[in-house]
Amino acid sequence: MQQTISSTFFIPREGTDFDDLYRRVRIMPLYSFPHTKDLNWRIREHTDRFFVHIDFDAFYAQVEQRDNVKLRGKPVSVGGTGGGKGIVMTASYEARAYGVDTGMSVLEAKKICPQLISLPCYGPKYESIMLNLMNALKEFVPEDCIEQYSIDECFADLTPVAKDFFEAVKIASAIKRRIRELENLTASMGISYNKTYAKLATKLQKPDGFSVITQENKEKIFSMPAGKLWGVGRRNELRLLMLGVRTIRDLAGSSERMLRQEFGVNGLVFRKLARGEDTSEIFRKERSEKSLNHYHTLSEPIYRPADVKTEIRRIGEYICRKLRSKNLVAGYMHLSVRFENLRYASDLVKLTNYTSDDREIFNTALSVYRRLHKPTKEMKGRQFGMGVYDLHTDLKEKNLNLFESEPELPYRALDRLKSKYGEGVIRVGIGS
Amino acid sequence: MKFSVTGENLVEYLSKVITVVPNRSPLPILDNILFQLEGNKLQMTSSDLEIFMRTELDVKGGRDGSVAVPAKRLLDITRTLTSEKLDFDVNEKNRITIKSKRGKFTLGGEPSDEFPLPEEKKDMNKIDIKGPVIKRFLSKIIHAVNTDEMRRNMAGVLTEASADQLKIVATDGFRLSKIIKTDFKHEADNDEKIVIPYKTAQHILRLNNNEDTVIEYDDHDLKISFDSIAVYSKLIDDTFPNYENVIPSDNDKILRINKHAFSDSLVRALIFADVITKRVRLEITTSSLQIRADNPEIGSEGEEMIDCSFNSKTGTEDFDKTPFVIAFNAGYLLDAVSQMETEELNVSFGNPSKAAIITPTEQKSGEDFIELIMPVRVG
Repeated sequence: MQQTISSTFFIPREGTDFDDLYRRVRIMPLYSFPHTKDLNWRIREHTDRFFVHIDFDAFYAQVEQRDNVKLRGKPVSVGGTGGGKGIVMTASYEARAYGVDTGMSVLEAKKICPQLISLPCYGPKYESIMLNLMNALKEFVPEDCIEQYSIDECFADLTPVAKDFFEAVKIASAIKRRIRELENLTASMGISYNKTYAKLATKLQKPDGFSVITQENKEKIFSMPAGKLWGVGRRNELRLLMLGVRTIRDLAGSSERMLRQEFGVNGLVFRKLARGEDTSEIFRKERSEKSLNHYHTLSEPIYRPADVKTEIRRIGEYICRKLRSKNLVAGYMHLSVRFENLRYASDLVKLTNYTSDDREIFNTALSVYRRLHKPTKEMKGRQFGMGVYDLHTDLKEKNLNLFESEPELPYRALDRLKSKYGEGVIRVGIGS
Repeated sequence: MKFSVTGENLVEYLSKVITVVPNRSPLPILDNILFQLEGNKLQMTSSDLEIFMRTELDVKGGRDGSVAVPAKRLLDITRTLTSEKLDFDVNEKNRITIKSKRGKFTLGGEPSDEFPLPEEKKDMNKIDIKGPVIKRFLSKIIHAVNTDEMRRNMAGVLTEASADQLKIVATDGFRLSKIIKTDFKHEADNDEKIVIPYKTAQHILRLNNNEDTVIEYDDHDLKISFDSIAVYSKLIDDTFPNYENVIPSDNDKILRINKHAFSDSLVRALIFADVITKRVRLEITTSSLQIRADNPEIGSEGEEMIDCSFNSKTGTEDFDKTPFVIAFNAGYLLDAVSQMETEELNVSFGNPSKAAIITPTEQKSGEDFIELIMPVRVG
């Protein structure tokens, strides 16, 4: 069976000769931490389940070092265009020793580590590696027990195949061996009785780590700083510090009321996660999508009407292609503009037809845009976004129109061309 | 300002003008109704900036003046005092005191000069229409008006007066509804076309109790008066689509069917139709119509059979061998069918991708009414 690379983590970028090769990668996971709705509030904690969390070490950098012998043992960073622009997405362990970190600008990184080799990000390569891993995992556990959490991390629920921790560990180490022979890459793994602890266990030993957290040795988790917990970022960590919460142990022992006051219902989730009471299951993507969104932040803010038009059209085409790939049509659309000063303008309209037609989406988007506050030279537009809602299966039916008879366009054939030769290879001419 | 009025009288007019007061207004002053008293005439004006409504009632005047009164609160109070005489007194600080037989209520008003006023224009073009005609005509075609925000040029009712006929047309691009008054006399040099916004048309329909109506207009504005109410509104100045061209004249296949049987079936079909196109499939033989609806998303389907008569003017096709098949949005079909007033109705078809025309078997005298629906193309 031919497997297509999911577009969840990738946003095609056009305008260069290497569009298809160097695609921008979204490192963000599908969700940051379990939602209250994902937790099973009827039970306090899982007692006899076994989750494994797999995380490739310095993923992009490791892949580049694997593929190029000359890079091995040297500080390498992946991300940016190579010319000094952009940010570091991953730094190899050699680079990390100098203090190079994810999110740093490449220029900044070169300052603290002049011998740093900065490489552009080659999206499809990393994604196909992850895809191979996901396929390999199917040899060990049923398909619906596997969850891809982000581009370099995944979870697997070993409960159906393991009787106890001893067996779970045996299977996990077999997976680890398999990754090595399959891709010649190292991954750190954490095994525990819930997803949160499995993820935290991975962090205990890196790179090429293998940690097991059971009810008996969960003390190891407790001494980790609270900021390591998923969902607790740098800002939340500070807020927790103000409350006197430093470690996961502190978080587990703090009062529900205090956390609720500070973080709302998420505070309660944090506390439960810290206590090992994460009862969420493997996250299965909902079969029917409720909406599709695409936001694009420009590195150079724009204000000229022609530029804006191009940008809106590009986003619209992307959304339509995504709709068609999922065989859906949309009933509503939403357009937003974020300005340089972070001010925001947006509007939602009902589409005339349920559609996935580039022209219709583009024309509607333009007329929505006309009603919005427009970017000016003084206040340029930094981010453009579009969302479509009220999605239904495309039945390929259309109420004919009295006044317009637009020919059907072979969009699906165009989509196939685009995914083979790149986004810029062909596009539908839309009248001015 | 000082006057007295019977509660019943006030509430009757107040409940009419309040229909224009916006629910959530960007301008707080629009939550009010403007009261203007001159002698024994009290004018009440409401507005949402697009539409203004003005009504005039007789009161026993004391001292002339004007004030903007909180609309909802005033109606809530007076609604329960309809049998009483109410004395209004407004001081220079716009405090409104209402005295009834037993009580005294005080409300804070707003200065009247903040309230926007409609522009009174002179020398406007004029169409006179009998009350029952405008009400009946609007109610027959208003369902076809385009209500989505995108295509503004169809978001209203086209009113076209020529020397001997009055045409009222609405369309949303997928269907069209047209009614002509054929016994109409109008003194005009040339044909006059205006597009009345949907909301304005709804106000006329709701408030007009068969009173004779005067439509006055120029290039941009519209004033419609009937009874003691005047509605001021902008006209839609986008060009209404050229609808005459799209009405097919060569539909040669005629279906004659009982109206109630057809509309009842459509109501049921709508339950089983898919939510996007609301498609029903009609399969027609010379003596029966099969209506089929299905929703593949949730896996439901339904079908029904009704007696009918169906034949082609050319007479070459054998519909019993190969039935005529066409698909429509059941909602559109139902809207159109329910506007027919005869026991039976005629539907004429050309081919499965051309518009169908629905007409009553007999037109009312002095009227010509048709409904046009575009089919759904099944891919």
